[in-house]
This record gives sequence, structure tokens and C-alpha cells, in this order.
Amino acid sequence: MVACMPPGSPELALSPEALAIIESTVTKEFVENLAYYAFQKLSQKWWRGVWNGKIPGGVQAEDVAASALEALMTADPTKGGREWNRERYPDLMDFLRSVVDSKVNHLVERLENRMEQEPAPKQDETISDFIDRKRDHRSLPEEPNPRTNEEAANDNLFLALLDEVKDDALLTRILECQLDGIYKRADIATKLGVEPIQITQAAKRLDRRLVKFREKHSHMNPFKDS
Amino acid sequence: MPDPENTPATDAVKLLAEFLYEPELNLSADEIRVRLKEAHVDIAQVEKRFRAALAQARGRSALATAQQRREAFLSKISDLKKQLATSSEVREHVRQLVEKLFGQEATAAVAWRNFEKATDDDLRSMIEDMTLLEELEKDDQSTPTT
Repeated sequence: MVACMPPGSPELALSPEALAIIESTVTKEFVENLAYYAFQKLSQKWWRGVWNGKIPGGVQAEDVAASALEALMTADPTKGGREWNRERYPDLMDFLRSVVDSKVNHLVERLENRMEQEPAPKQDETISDFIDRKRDHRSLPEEPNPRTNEEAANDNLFLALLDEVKDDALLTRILECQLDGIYKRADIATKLGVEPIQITQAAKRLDRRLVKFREKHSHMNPFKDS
Repeated sequence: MPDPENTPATDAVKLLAEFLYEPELNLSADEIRVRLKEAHVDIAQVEKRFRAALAQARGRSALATAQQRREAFLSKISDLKKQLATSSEVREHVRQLVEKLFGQEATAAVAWRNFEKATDDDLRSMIEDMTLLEELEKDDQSTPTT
């Protein structure tokens, strides 16, 4: 059963029954749980955060969590809402986490696109001359692809990180797993034949070591201000 | 020249972020609170926006319920008008209503005589009003007070 009034309503609105469930379920603890999930998701998807230690400026976990709750309450997809299908998601938290996932993915995609740099006006160049120059692509100098620059920086930093943690055999093996495309903690534990808790502890250890690593390698880190 | 689509190091860093910040779903409420505080996440702001959205949703839901009721009433009245198309049906309908209200009491005969003097249009209008009132009473009994 879906949580909305049947068609014919002035707009797609939550049914009184769904409203009652939401009111009794969304406690302070529930909101904290959702906000922390949003925080983790943002950190997980904004990969530049590995090197700059923070999620992008202006983007906050509380915005994402509040926006997911607002989408639930709006319900109508034509008004930016998300309709809670209680058959598919009997647990409200599962539904809201899926909304957070989708919002974070869109947000990170938009930010990634914004990172693609456009040609800028030269000093002493008028805006109309700049626009003319932009129209005529032959006049633009061949600039290196931003992705190529990023790749080179990531390569240098990743190798430096491998070197930094060479005293910790488990961390080294975990980083090698990332190079092999294995990243889920459970999968890494299975591949390396260790207990999942050891992998969780290693992740915390690596996160702490990254703080010092960023300071030590700030001279070669183009992501530090992004 | 390197292929900009071939980015093994960037891919490895993306996976490293996935690994480092994989959501931990089984933390206790206290642990979550501590971590939110460390990350300076403002929960009061989320709660405030939720309460505002909840109030708006309540309003939309009440409006939708009211519109559904109105449509149901209009549909019943429309059906009734079709049923009462002929005068004999109108009078039969009123007779049934009188019997329902007074049963076999002597007052039933008196009441029925009074209605016999009314025009068909008056009777139709009275039946519509009585049906609407009946529906409203039923609705009031089934709607929980807020």
C-alpha cells in the first residue's frame, strides 16, 4: 500500500494513516540517525575529501537530511516530493536512506560538473572579446584535460599514501585492494582472510593517519582547497 | 597523450573514499550523537524543517480528505435526483422515511397526511436535505477529532 491519498485529491497528499506513522516514527533519535547517514554518504561520495579532509563548502549533511524529510512530506513527485511506497519500503528509515542516496549522488554529480573549468577572460580582455574568442574554438589554446591533471595528482598522492603506511601491513593490503577494485569492508575482510572488525578498525586507523598525511603532503596536493 | 577516460588512480581514490566512509548502520544512539557533535552537524535545523513540512502535509491531507467527502456527497445527491425522477417515487420515498422515523405509531399517519399536501419539488428538496444531513452525521461519527 502506498502512503498517499488516492487520485482525485487536490494534489498528491499523504494519507492520514501515513501521517500518523511518520509522526510517531520520526523522533529526535531518528533524525540524528538519518543526519549521520547523510554525513557518511556525503563523505563517501565526495572522493576529493580523502585528500582535503572535508566535504565541499556549502554542502551540509543537515541540508541533505532535512531535504529528504521534506521530500517525504511533500510526496508529490511533480513538486519535488518522493512518494513513500510502504510495500517496497516497510521501514521508513530504509526509504529515507534511499532518498538521501539519490540526493547525494545528484549533488556530487553537479559539483563534479562545476569543477570542469571553463576558459577565463585574459587580463585586459573585454567580455565581448572573450565571448567571441570562446565562440571560435580554433583561437583557444590547447589546455590539458582537467581529468588528466587530476589523474596525475591522484597517482602521486596514492603512491605517497602507500609509502606512508608501509609500516602497517594490513593498511597496505587494504590500499592494494582499492587498486584491484575491491572496496566494501566485508569483501576486503573475505579477500584478506581477516575478521570484519579488524577491517573496521583499520579504516579508522587510516582515517586518522590521513590527517597527518595531508599536512605532510600539502605541497603536492592540488585538492586541498577544493 | 594520456587517455582522459583511463583513470585508474582516480578510480582507486574513489573506492578509497567508499571504503573509509562506508556507512555504519548499527551504531548506538550515543555513538551517533558524539560523531554528529564532532562533525558539527546541526540537528535542531533538521528538526525545525521537518516540523514545518509536517504542518504543511497535515494541511494538504485535510484538504484532500475534505474534497473527497464533498465529491462523495455530490455523487450521492446526483444518484438520489435520478432515483426521484417521477412523482410517485418521491411520495413513496417520503412514506418510507416517515415509517422509518415514526414506525407504526399513530403519529405516522398524521405526518404522512401533512406531507401529502406538499408539492413534488418541495418533497424532493426535503429528501435531498435529509439525506445530506444523514451523511454529515455519519461522517462526523466516523471522523476522529483532532
